[in-house]
Amino acid sequence: MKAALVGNPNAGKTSVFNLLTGLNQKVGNYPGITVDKKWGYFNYQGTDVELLDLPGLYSIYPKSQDEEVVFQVLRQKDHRDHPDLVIVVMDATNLERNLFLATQILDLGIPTLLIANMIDLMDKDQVGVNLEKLSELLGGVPLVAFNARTGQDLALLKSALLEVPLEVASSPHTQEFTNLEDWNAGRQEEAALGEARYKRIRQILSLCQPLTRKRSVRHQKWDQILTHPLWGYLIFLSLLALIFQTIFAWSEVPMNLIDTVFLTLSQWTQATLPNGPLTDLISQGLIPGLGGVMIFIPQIAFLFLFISLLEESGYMSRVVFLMDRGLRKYGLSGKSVVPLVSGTACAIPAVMATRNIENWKERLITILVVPFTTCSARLPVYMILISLVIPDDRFLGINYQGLTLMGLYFLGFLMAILSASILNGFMKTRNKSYFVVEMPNYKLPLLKNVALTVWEKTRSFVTEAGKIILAISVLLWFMASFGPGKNFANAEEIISQ
Amino acid sequence: MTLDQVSNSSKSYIVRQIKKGPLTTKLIDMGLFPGKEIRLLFKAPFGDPIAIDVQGYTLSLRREEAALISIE
Ligand SMILES: Nc1nc2c(ncn2[C@@H]2O[C@H](COP(=O)(O)OP(=O)(O)OP(=O)(O)O)[C@@H](O)[C@H]2O)c(=O)[nH]1
Ligand SMILES: [Mg+2]
Repeated sequence: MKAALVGNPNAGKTSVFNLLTGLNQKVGNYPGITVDKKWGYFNYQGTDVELLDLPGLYSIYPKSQDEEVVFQVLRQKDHRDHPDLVIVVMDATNLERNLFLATQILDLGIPTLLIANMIDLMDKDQVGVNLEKLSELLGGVPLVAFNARTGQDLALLKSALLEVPLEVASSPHTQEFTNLEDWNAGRQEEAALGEARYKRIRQILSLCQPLTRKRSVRHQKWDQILTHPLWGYLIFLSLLALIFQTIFAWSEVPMNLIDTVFLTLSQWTQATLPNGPLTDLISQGLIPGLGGVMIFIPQIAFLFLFISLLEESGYMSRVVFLMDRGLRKYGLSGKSVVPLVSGTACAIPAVMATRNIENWKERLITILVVPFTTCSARLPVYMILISLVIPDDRFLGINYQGLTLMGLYFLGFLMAILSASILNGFMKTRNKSYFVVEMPNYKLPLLKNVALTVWEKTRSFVTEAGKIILAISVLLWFMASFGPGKNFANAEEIISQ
Repeated sequence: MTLDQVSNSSKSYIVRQIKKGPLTTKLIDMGLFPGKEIRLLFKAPFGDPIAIDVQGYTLSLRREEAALISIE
């Protein structure tokens, strides 16, 4: 059976996907983390289920590239990825807007299971929606409450999934889409249909929501400070400074340890193995080369620890908000911040992440300038140069090396902005850009999600960049041993003189 | 009055109408339909973009877009 996860951005689809399939796709507290489809598999009580994780969307009519992905899969019955069953993941603290998409899906006539996710937060808010009543009012669609953060009652979810009848009578709703042509008709009067749909959802909700809502926006106090016109920027800058300081300070001990281990290993092989070029290759080429990759693991791990904490807490959305006006002048958008920051890992996923920018010009400029941000493979080069040239001193507790590293990252961003403003002068577009973005509530970062991001990024650094670093250090050994002069082998001494 | 003119964050307003244009459907998708109660939360420096409470979640949008939303 093929099932697809559909829902609003940040509703918890990937969290559900990871729980069901045991995979580790990226989860984060920012709308638009998933930008492409991803298959996973699981078996429950003898039934094989192929599960598809999809980008989030607010309406079945797509407005951006990542939403288009979902539209294609759902619209074409003969599409390779067209599901037998749709699992709609809803954020239970905001049912009105989540039901907008959910009822559109129901109208498609595909068998559907509704999940009221984040039920822990709904209980906290005391929104008090009677879910049984809601399911009944929606025409008896199966609806389960769930908490994808803890994964409690996962077995219940799985059995509910298998019990969904795969034959669906026609939808009890507005009958917006009975066939493919209706999509196009729907687009013509999309606004009017949307208004009518919301009116209907209000009616339904008023029948199953006896209590009035107590609170809808959490942590308002925090936003007062973190998005403050002055403090907001100062806090952001201090956070960055702190990150680069700690990258240097905290990594020192593990880096020295790794260094010693590889040095000892190299000396040991040299002493133990019989003399000859093969031993030299191992002890002077291979082992130092491996050490040269491993030694950067602490710094890269710390960098991603911080970035993933920023993402998981919900702070990244505030940075996007604060930066939008400044970046707009250069043909970028606040949304470009996320690809630019994720470019510190690698430019490739960062380019993918631009899919959630709606305006093509802003997207294209973002893609073109992303390579200016310092990616993790460049970090080792900076590190070596910095420790060679900049003294390891402190002024008022600020480490010069950390400061220089921060400066180099800033230089990268500055170049990105500069190139963006040049590109902005060239490119003309008739499409006006817009910025209408959901700001998720602050959440306590989930240790598991943070650890996974750190692990994933570090692993891909070791395997991707590591391969090249290792190959080059072997090549350097070769050139130093068999090459023409001695200057190269003594490069370090010559510089430090 | 339109949403971009609001500076008081203690008062709630009702969406009356969304100006017709390429953004109408996007704003409706996001839950800004006529009859919805909204409230200003905070503004970025120079008053742009702004963040509003759409009863259930926080939405940020530029002033330009806020100007499309008439409220009362
Ligand atoms: N409190 C709580 N948080 C949850 C729950 N489910 C998911 N989250 C959190 O909500 C955030 C979004 O989760 P994701 O799984 O990335 O959401 P998504 O729907 O895949 O988001 P996009 O890929 O951006 O569309 C993460 O910070 C999760 O840890 C839940 O049941 N309760
Ligand atoms: Mg996701």
